[in-house]
Amino acid sequence: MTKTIHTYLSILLAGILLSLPACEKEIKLDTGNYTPRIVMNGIISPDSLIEISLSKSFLYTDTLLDRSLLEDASLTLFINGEKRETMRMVRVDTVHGRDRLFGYTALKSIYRSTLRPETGDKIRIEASAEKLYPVWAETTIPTPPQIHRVDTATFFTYNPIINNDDHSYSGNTSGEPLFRNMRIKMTVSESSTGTNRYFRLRLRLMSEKIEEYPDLPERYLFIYTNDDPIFEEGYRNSLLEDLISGNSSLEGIKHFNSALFSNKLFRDNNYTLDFSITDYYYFHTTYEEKENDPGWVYPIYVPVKTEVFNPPIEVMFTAISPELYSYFREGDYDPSSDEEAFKIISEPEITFSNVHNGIGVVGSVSTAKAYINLPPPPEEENSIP
Amino acid sequence: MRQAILLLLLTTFFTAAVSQEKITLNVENKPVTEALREIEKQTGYTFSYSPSLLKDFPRITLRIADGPLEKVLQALFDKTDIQYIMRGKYIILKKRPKEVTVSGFIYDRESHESLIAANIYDLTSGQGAVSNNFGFYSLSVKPGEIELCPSYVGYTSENHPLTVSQDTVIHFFLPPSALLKEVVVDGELKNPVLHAETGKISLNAATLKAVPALMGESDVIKTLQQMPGVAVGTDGMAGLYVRGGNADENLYLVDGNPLYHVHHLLGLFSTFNPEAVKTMDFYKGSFPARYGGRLSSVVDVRMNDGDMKKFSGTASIGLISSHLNLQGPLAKDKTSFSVSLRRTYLDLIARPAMYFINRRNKKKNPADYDKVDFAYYFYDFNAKISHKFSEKSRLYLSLYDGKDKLFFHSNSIRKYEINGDPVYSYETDYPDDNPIQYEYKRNADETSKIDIGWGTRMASLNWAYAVNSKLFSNATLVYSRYNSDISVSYENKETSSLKNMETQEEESGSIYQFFKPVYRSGIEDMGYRLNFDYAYNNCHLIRFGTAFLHHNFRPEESRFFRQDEDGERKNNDTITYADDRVRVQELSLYVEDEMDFGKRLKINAGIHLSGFFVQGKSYLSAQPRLSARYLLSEGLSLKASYARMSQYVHLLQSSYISSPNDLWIPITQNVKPLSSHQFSAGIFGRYRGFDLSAETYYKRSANQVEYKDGAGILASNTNWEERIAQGIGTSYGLELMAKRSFGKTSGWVGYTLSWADRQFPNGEINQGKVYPAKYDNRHKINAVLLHQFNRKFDLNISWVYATGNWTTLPIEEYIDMDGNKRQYIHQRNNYKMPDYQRLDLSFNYYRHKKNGRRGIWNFSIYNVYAHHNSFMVLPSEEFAPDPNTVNGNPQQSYPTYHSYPLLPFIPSFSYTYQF
Repeated sequence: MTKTIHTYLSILLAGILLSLPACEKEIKLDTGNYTPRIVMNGIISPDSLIEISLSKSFLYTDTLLDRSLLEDASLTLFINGEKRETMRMVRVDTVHGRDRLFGYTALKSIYRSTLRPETGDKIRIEASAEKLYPVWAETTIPTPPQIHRVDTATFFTYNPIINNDDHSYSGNTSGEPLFRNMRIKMTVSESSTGTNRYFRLRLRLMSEKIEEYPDLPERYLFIYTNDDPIFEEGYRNSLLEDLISGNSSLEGIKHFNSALFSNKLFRDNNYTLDFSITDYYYFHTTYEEKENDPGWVYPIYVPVKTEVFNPPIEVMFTAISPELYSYFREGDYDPSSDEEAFKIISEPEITFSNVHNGIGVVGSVSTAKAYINLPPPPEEENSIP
Repeated sequence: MRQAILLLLLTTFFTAAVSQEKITLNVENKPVTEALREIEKQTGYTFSYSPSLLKDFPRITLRIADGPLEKVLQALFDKTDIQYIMRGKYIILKKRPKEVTVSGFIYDRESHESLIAANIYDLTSGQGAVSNNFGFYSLSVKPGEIELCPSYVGYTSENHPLTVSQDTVIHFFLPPSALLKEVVVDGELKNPVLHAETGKISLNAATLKAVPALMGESDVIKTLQQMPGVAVGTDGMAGLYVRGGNADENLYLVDGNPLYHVHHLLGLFSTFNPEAVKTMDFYKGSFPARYGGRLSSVVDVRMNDGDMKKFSGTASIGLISSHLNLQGPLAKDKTSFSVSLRRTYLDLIARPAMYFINRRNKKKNPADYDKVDFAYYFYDFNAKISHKFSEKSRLYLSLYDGKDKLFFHSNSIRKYEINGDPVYSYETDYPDDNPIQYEYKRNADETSKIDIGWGTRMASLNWAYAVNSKLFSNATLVYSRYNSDISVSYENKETSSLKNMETQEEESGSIYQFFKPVYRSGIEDMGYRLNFDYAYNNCHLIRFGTAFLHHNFRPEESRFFRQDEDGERKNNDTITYADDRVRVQELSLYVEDEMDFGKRLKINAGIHLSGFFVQGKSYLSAQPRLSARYLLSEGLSLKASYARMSQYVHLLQSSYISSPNDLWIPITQNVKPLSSHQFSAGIFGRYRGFDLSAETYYKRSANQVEYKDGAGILASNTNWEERIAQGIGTSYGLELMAKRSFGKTSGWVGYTLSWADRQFPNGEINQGKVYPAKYDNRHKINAVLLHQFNRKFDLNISWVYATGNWTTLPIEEYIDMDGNKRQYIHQRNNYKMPDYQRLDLSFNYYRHKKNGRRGIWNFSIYNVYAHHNSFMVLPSEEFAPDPNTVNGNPQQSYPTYHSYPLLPFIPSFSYTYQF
């Protein structure tokens, strides 16, 4: 009897569920009249040579992405309205990547100037190529901000505030607060009056200072805050979006690997940022290949030792041009992320671009830096809880 | 008793005797007063009148020999403006009123249900009137003999000759037609040639139930999607996009009360239960002044009052839901009720199945099993009680409760025990030099719950009162509340112990974690409405009224509850992210006059004034309305109309499905009211039973709200004002329609040619450039055919074709400054999806039983030839044989686009029992 009921209910449920979704169908778009556009990107800093990458767009259905290379283009540099030089192509960069669907290789040409612009210069770049619409972009190099003071205080929590990819956390059963955090109060200023200005804050572990291992990958630290309203600007998700996207505001803590904000909360061009970081020692684990277990095809690597380093933290407080603010606000593009999956039923974004008649972002930055030197970690913290 | 009878007989005899008195009169060119004196002398009657009444009476010449008094009086006064009334020994002369008013209610004879928009026509004078939403009519006629003919679709007309000399109240009780019940679109009373409105369509319950719909569930909104001027929308979804407007620009009224949320199951079904619906008026344009608050359309639904005479009902069971409808008298001829309930029951099937599966899992492995419980259901409950105090006064209590509920609960139980030598130390995760014998136990109980619910509750108390023969009033108190509630909870209870088997030392611990984010939004309304219909005369029907609503918006309430315990440490938090409330008052006044200028010209002119008071700011709006009809001939008319509309609330809906976190938001200090101007004109005719129309329109909307580029799927009140942009909408088009209302075969064919654009000049969307609206379908063809073979079988067919919706699709890509491959989208709605077409069939088999009962088997098919109708088009991948290998394997993938439909060929059936 139970089996009969079970069978009947299963068939009924399956029938109902199967009746709803229908078959997808491949469709071909009419792209006979498609003309590629010039793609121009670059971030310009004062007192540095200007490097602009140039390529061309391609159809989504195009599989030969080396067609992205734009040859025989002409790039002209204007500074403060005056034509200054024709930039030269210095190299071709190969870009490898993998999106959700495929691995790809694309090419872009790099053009460089011989001139170094200064703070406040209005830069205009014009590019043209045969059979493509000419494009242009403008940006004004912002005045660099200043970092006046950086105060730090260390505190411990029972649980990690942010689950870092480097560590897997299985629960602190010791009853003691084990996780180290650092609160930072940083007083900054900027010199503009009456205009909207935009900034980006990033903190980086200077892994290049670790002499024992010269080629360690770069690591940026997550920034989080409970108290400082200035960080709300760069955060546009709702509670529900956080739940879906796994940004983990479940703990009540929003975090960023780079914070974006404007100067609208500044008072008399000054502001004291109040934020915290965690997990700021550099843990490096050495692995050795283990003798193959006959049951396994692939080699197994086992950890041999973990060392903890205390490289300095580089605090980068950057004034960014409005174009870059819009570009950075779009966030990191991760085609495999949950956000991308959920976007299929909402209105897609028009891609931000300040390149007229083309695609790309040409912006400028000016950066102020400060450094936080860390004491060596206590010996008992040399292991991962 | 005997004396009374004797007195009555004597009076009757006397009156009869007197009236039969013979008079001989011979006057030539004399004042009428001489004739009156002669009559008094001969009959003994006395004339009573005001001297000024006969002052200008012309001299008379009259010769009558032995004529009855009645005849003499008729000869003297019939063709004058003086009337005579005989009272005992007196004959009273007074000025004859130019018109008298005949008024009353028109009912169904069997149920005493009032008939809305029934026609009443005087065959003598050619004057007519239409009953209002409560069945009340008022008709002005000349005193004397008249012949009234009330008529209504599906009812037998009867002529009523009578003589009226003063205002008279007459109620009509029409018998349902004994002929085969015909499913009609509308009747003569709604003759589109005659009424002044362009863009108005009226449907009755029979049509709403007959038009084939998804999974056999008749649907008001899906029927309206079959009309010209209404976009197809998204396949299967019940959104209404009228003349280029958005889904939140439609005013849904249930017995005059606005309804915010009208969808179930992400928009697949609407909240209107056709079994409870009496009539529905749909306005696409030329909105009368009594309507306001939305830009694009008005859907005015009237629900059944209930049978005052006998109990009846229907019960039906279908593939997805069941219905139960009951109506009848609570006190015969005084009080009636009508109750309708519709509920899906997939959860009632799925949950027991889940129970058995969970029980089996637990039995199989009591130490390691999962329990799952999930369900979805929706229901609609309508109830109405009508009480008749008197022929002039009625009270109605209407209730509505509708809800969607979705939940998913899972519970994992894990108990395990490990005994052995660890290779790696638990503390350092490195190879342990001194492995020990240990016993490790762990119990974990983890529960996750997702609960989503959304729905509306509404109650209204309405008093309808016929003040006098010309003035009708109704007053309503209304309360409604829409809520949506989303919560996700997680609970984890864990205990563990580790025992060193050599030393017998044991360490144990426990963890408890609980967190629950909660997200709520809603809107609560309280208010009143006061409406009057004043039939000044047959040439002026004046409507006026006022309404007040207090809105309590709760755009977003989001909280996070957390509790965790770890040994002796305990932590308990409640974090409130948002708890915004916005209180708003809305006041409106209107007046409109429906005027007849002769037989040819009819004009409805009015004005709707509204005020919206929010956050210390007042928004006032004057919205003129004008519609006019000119009759070229009996079966042909020209019409034109203009309407200005304002809207103060809008729906934040960031995707094209209706989801529970869609937010109704008021305008604020920073977000301006939406407004529109709409012009329309057309030609309407009736030829050989077909109603034909060709209508054009032009609509321009300002301050239309849309999300800026990149809005997430989860609409949020957090900084919502910064997420939206306001711009301009422009739409125009041509609508052609031919429909047949009578006979065994009825239905309509419609064609629409239309354009709809959007522009946000500030550059916040699409860089300020014009782009097509999502539902800008250039061509649309609708055909609906309803055929009744005989009493036992009928067949209903509907077919729709439309050019595709617009969507935003990445066509090209580029390499960004970080070396990532990115999709480039240069314009919103840059790709037109494949064309849409669908054929639906519905077939009814009636089994008639005794005493009016019957069973109805319905079999229907949605999308008969399974046309692939795109729900969305997305970039994707396909696989093809690798040309560089011998057998083509492994296959190579390549990028392409896929079109995803939602609803394929769907057959369904249902059984309805009427009693």
